[in-house]
This record gives sequence, C-alpha cells and structure tokens, in this order.
Amino acid sequence: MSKEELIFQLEEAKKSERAIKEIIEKIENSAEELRLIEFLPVPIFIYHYSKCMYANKKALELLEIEKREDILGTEIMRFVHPDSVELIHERRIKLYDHKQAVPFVTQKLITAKGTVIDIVVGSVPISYGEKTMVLSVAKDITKTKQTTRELNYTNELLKSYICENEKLMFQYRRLHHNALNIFHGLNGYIFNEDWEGLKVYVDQVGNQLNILKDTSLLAINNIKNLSLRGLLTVKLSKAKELGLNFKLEVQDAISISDKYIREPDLCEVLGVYLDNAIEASEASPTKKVSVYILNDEKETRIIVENTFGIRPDINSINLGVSTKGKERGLGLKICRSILNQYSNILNNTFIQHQVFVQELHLLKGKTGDNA
Amino acid sequence: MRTNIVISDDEKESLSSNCLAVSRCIEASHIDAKITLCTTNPSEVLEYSKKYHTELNVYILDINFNKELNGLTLARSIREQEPYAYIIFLTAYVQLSMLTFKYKLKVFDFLIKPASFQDISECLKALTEDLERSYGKKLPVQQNHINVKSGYQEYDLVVEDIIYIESYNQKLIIHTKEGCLETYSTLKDMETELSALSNNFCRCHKSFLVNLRYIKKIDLINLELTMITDEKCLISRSQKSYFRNITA
Repeated sequence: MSKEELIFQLEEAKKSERAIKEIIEKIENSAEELRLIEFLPVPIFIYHYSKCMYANKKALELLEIEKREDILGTEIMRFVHPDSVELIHERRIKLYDHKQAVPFVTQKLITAKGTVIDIVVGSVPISYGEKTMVLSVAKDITKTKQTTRELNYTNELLKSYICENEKLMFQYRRLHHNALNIFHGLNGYIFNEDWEGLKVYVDQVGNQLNILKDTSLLAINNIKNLSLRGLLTVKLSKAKELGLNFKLEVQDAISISDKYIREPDLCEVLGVYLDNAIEASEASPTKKVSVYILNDEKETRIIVENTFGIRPDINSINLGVSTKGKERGLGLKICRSILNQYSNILNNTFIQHQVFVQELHLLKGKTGDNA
Repeated sequence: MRTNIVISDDEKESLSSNCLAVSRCIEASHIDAKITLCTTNPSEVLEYSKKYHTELNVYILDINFNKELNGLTLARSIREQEPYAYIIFLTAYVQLSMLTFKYKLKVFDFLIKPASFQDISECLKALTEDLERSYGKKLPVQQNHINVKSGYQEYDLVVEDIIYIESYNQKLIIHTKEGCLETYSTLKDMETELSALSNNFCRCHKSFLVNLRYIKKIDLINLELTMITDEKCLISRSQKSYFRNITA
C-alpha cells in the first residue's frame, strides 16, 4: 500500500468517524420530533456500505447489544446470517448505484449473543452531504414465523384427523352391518336347531370380529389434547395401512398441560419418534409398534416401542447420523434441540429385550422452562 | 449358557399344550435351554426360585390363578430373589393395567391365551437374542449393576456397559452400549458410586465422566477424547498430564 493510499484511507476513516458523531449529535440535539427516531418502537439503522453509522434503541435490543459503542463504526455484515448475504448484495446495488428504495423482504440475522432471528427489513438511500447512506427499518418476526409454522402444522394434523374420522365412520357402518348379518345368521342356526352348523359358523365369524379386539382407537379418545389426538390417529392409520401391528394404550383420560410441554413441541417430537418406530418395525418379522401413555400425579410417561430388523446403532443416532438417510437423523436432532429447552423432561432411548424404546418423562414437580 | 424354563398355569390343558410348544420350539431353533419345571401349583414355582435363584431362569406364568398366590404376586416374589430372571406372562386379554405391571416387574413379554406355537417361538427367539447380547458368557449376577432413576422409574445398568456420562444443565446423560438414559443427579455422586465398583472411570472434565475402556483416540492438542462410538468428550487442562501419561 502506498503512502498516498494510506493517507487517503486515514482521511476517509476520519471523515466517517466525524459523520457518525454528526449524525448522533444531530439526532440528539434536534427538535423533539426528530428525537423520536431514537424512541421509535421499531429498530432503525443507518449505514454507509457495511459500516454502521447509527442504530436506535430498538435496533440495539434486536441485535442483543448492550452499548451503542459496540456497533457504531463496525462491520454490520457480521450480523447477517450466511443464508441472507447474497440477497443483501443484490439490494445494495439498487440502493447505492441506482439510488432506489428496496421493498421489504425477510432475511435472517445472527445477534451479538448468537441467536438466529428472522426479520422483515426495508431500506431507502438517504443523502448525507456528498455521501449516500442507507436507512433501514426492521421488524422481528421470529415469533410470528414460529407461530405460523406451528399453526400450519396443527391445521394439517386436524385436516387429516377429520379425513381419518370419515374412514372410521365408514368402517363403523360396515361393522354395524356385519354385526346385524351375523346376528341373523346365528338366529337361523338356532331356529333350525342345527348345533353342529352353529359351532362351525361361530368359528368363522370369530375372525370377522377380530377388529373388536383392537382397542387402540378407543384409547385415542382418552387423549384430550386435540393435535396430539390428531397425530396419533394419523400415525395409527398409516401403520395399519402398512400392515403393522400397532397398539396404543392410554391409562385413563389424559390432558397434557402446556405447563409441562408446549403442544406443538410434543407433537413434533412424538411425530419423529413414531415415524422412526413405524419405519424400523416394517423391516422386522413381527412388525410391532406399541405406544403407551401413562399418567399419575407425579409424571406423564410416553413410551414408544418397536421391533426392528437390524439392530439400530444407538450412538450414531445420538450423533445425528442415521443409517436410513439424512432426514431421519435430522429428525432426532431436532427432537434433541427441542427437548433441551425443557429441564422438566427426561428423554431416554435404548434397546431393552430386543425392543427399541423411545420414552419421554414429563415431570410435574418441575415446570417447563419454556412455558 | 444353559437357561432353565419354568412353566406354570392352573389349567392342565393349557399347561401341557404350552409345555409341548416350548419344547418343540427349543428343538426346532436349537436353543440351549430345558424345561426344568412344569406345574399347576404356583407355590412349587416359588420353592424352585428360592432353591435355584443363582441360575438363569425363564418363568412363563399365567396371571390368573384361582388360588391365593396369583401370577402377579408370584412374579413379585420371584423378582425379589432374581432381579435378572426373565418373566413372561400368559393372559386371556391384555388390559390397560397390564402395562404398568410390565414396567414395574420388568416383564419380557405378554402372550395372549391361547398362545400359538408361532407366538411362543417368536418370544423365545427374541429372548435368546437378548440373552446373548446382554450377558454373553457371564451370568447377570456376576456383573456389576447400578440403579438409576429417570423420573420416577428405576433402570438397571450394567456398569461396564457405560461408555460415558455427560452433564447438561441439571441433567446427566448416561451413554451406554444399549442406549441413552437421562437422570437428575451430579457427576460427583455418579463418580463416587461408580468408583466403588470399577476402576475404569475417569473424570476427564467437569462435565464428563468417561469409561477408559471405550476411548478410541486421545487428542491432547484439542483436549478431546473420541469414544468408540465416535462421540467426543472434553479433557480439562488439569487432566491433560494424566492422559499424556496414559499415551506415553
């Protein structure tokens, strides 16, 4: 670097430092109306290329920065999530080269404390002296996004629940019809006093009534959480379609309170557990999946058991890798990150008696941190 | 390792058909087991258990005896003497309350009566696989066990199956060959308990307690241990010299 260049850069640095001071002074010393910008309930930034010139109170809160000095004059790109970098470059060209405002878009930021947040941001170019700077207004939509996602998920569940109910209604009609026929059949044999024929007939219809031995569907009604009920109905029918031996037992009527785990979280975790169990048991000779929900005054336990063809490698499951492709390992990783938020939940996965067990203990003595 | 099978049912017909099915299954699948007792009288089972509790026994019991001593109370007494025996229940219908017994008594399986040859055969096959995996050539009573509470449920762990223990917030995550178990406890308590039973455990870091037998790689530059499962544990600075001596 030549001496001239160095001097030039120094000058530039001095200039921008002066500019920062001026902007802050302007805002602080200006009329009350202008000082509003400092107290506006939305995060506002002013920057010159990637150097931050100003950030209001809300902006500091958004980025989880304690002192304003920590951000002024520093590189603003360090808060941008890698996913959003390209987007920002495109917008910059418009802002600086064409001096055009850019519309609101969603992008990701990483705060000073490392939290990833979703924001909606819009920017306009502003002239400051001979320089062009950019003023951005942002809005934190992390919560909204999460809620929307959860609502969509619940909505999907309820939709399939309703579909399942229609199928069940059909089954019920058939069973009803069948029962009447069987009754008439029995009547016929009795009327004719054909006792040998009756014996044979009872043996035959016994198979048709096997469906009555399956109490899983009745057990679902014991669950008072609607989306959990939806989830179980859907997975139950999926397992039945695959020809699995799926059993659900619920001890008494149960309603799992938000105090212990948020319902969307519970559904997501259980959804992954059930998918894993269904997939693994398909490859086993006995194809068994059993779900138990036990409840007492101290804790609620949810146990998912399944048989398997090849012994699963527990430890690689913990590492988030899976023999069954990327998605499955990812599912368990998501589970772990969800469950890590709850100090009242213990989560065990192990093999016992040649059965793979995934279980959740929701302890009532300690309430969820996340509640 | 030979297993003894005890079958008990108060109905003679069902007892003899089950005995037949079991012996056919032992023969067909070449299982190293023999039926040592076959009785309609539950108190004989109890006497047997008292006498032979050091051996590896499998009990196939009917739940509903029409006697004072029913299947459940019988199973409870057996459990007291033989914590590692296999118990299989025969029952007319699996009712909701059964699952609680399953967990309290650590029941291996429920067979629904009348149990078909296929049911019994599948159950015994699973049992032998489990046996080979969990105990190998050693009898369960010859191994060291610890009792760990996860929530309000107690779990029995073989000490030498523990690969490492990690602390996370108020929880401990115990990684074993059979899976992962979480419990509320401290590494300090766990260290005390384990060191009384085995010399293989080392507190390599304030958040990690590892079983030295399962270390695959020691990385003293990054202060990291790689376990045989490829999971990583940290080494604290103060323990660095200890591991340097091991590798030297």
